[in-house]
Amino acid sequence: MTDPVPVILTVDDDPHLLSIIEHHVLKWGYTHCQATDSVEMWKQLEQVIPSIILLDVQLSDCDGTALVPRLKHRFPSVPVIMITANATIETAVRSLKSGAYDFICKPLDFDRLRIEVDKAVKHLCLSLQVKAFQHAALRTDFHGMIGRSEPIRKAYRLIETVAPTDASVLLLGQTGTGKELAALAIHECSRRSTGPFVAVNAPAIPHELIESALFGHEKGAFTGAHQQHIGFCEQANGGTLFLDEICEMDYNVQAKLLRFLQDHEVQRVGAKSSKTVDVRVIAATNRNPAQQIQKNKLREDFYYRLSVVSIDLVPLKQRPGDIALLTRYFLDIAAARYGRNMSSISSEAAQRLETYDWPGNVRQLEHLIDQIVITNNAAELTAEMLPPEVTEKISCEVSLIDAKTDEKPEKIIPSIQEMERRLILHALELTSGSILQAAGHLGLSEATLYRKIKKFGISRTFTEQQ
Amino acid sequence: MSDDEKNLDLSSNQPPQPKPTRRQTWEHLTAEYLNDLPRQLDELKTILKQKDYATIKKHAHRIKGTSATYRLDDISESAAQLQRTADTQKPKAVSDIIDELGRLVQLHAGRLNSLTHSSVDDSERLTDD
Repeated sequence: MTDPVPVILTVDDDPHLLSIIEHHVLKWGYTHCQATDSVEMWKQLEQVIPSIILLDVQLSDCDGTALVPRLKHRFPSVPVIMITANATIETAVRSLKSGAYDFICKPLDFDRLRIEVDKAVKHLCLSLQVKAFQHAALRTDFHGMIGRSEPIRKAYRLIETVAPTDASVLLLGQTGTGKELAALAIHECSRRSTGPFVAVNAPAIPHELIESALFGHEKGAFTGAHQQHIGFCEQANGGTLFLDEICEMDYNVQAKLLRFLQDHEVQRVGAKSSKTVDVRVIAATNRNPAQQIQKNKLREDFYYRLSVVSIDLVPLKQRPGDIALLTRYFLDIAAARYGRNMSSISSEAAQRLETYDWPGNVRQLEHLIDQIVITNNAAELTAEMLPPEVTEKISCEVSLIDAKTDEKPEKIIPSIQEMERRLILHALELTSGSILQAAGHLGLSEATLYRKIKKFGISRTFTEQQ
Repeated sequence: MSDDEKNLDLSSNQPPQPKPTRRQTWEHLTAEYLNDLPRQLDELKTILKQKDYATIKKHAHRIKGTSATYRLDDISESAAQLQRTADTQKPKAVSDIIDELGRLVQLHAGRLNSLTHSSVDDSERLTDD
């Protein structure tokens, strides 16, 4: 792609001067547009954003220098070069003080004007580059991923670095941390962005159909194969194949995928020959790969083939500042989607959202905001709208702090049963819902913990990740 | 069919026109300016009748800058003189300078007219830039 040709806007009350400037500017390879007074200039600026503005000091309808602050306010990066037939120090100082980039006297020396214009174009390019870098450093949105905390910015940088290569990538992170969004971001930043992005959620496909789903089948290959089916690996030809939850895949399917990763050949079930495809594979898991290898849930060779590059997506609670940003983002989207006017968040609600652990990570926050917006027709999201598990977290911590210090607790002391329920909740949050690990922390057997979970009616969202 | 043949406009019976040279473009723009200056000077005379010296000064300032850019130095100098004289608010002096400007415009228009009839060096064509 070629860079757009810089546009020079000249504002002067004499059309004959505009003609001669246009003659030169076009000769230098720039595009030219013009205005004879301030009214016409503002009209032009509705249509085009110039690279440079050449502005006469003495316009028919106003003093050109008076326009500079407004121009700089609206187009801070665009250099304004003043031109005048009144070559006095006072005019020059006034021009530069107003924010002009430079000052040129009439009669126009077109050699000098060209140097100044070229210089100003370079200046503009540099300032735009600086802005782009600054924006990248402060960015809160990266291909649909929201966040500006250091851990998420680190992920953005890694995605940008790895995307242009064809290396396989393994995305690690708890459920709801945005692994599919990260996979999509890699695809969008890669040379494959115009190709297909095929996401495969292995646990959602019945065991007996997974091979056919991945590699396809020919008509009549097996009972029920009434027509030919092109598998996900072939569908992703020229693009990216995203394999989610790889640890939930059958061990034998992992072996077949390993072979696919090695030779990029697809053989549909029932086909006599294979076909070579050009596919980049990105995989994801919410499990600890080392532990899964030990448990024979993940093939070691498959893991090493996939994890050429590993990107860790940290839990939401380890992303300071991002909760507020994401809450705002999801609130705006939900309010628009459901036609609500909820546009602000009370400070108490914001504080409670910030201090909650978010075991379900970004997805949990998104669903919660959706739920609040749907069920509350109010202008502000308040703490009262939050579910107990979000607000209880603080109470629990307050109780524990009170217990550690000798200060008098200001709140009513909860019952031992309530404390037990909270401890179980806390342990489940810390272990991302792992019954085994939570039981270990609490000094209970798995069976006892299951019984207590049932007894206290704790949400199944904590046990789903087992 | 070659690319050159493809580029030919077969719908037109007119031979393709050569692109103007830099000098020709400059002369054309200068001629346009010189053709318009008498109108501007007439306008100045009308304004003088209204004794609106501030507007005369503003117009003179504009002529000073543009004519200098067109390398019409004597016109620019006269316009500068007109700008200064407007401050004195002496109608006769202002009118004399406007007349002098008219004479200079005629002089340059005549010179330019004779120049445009002289031959043009092909090396100056814009296409050769």
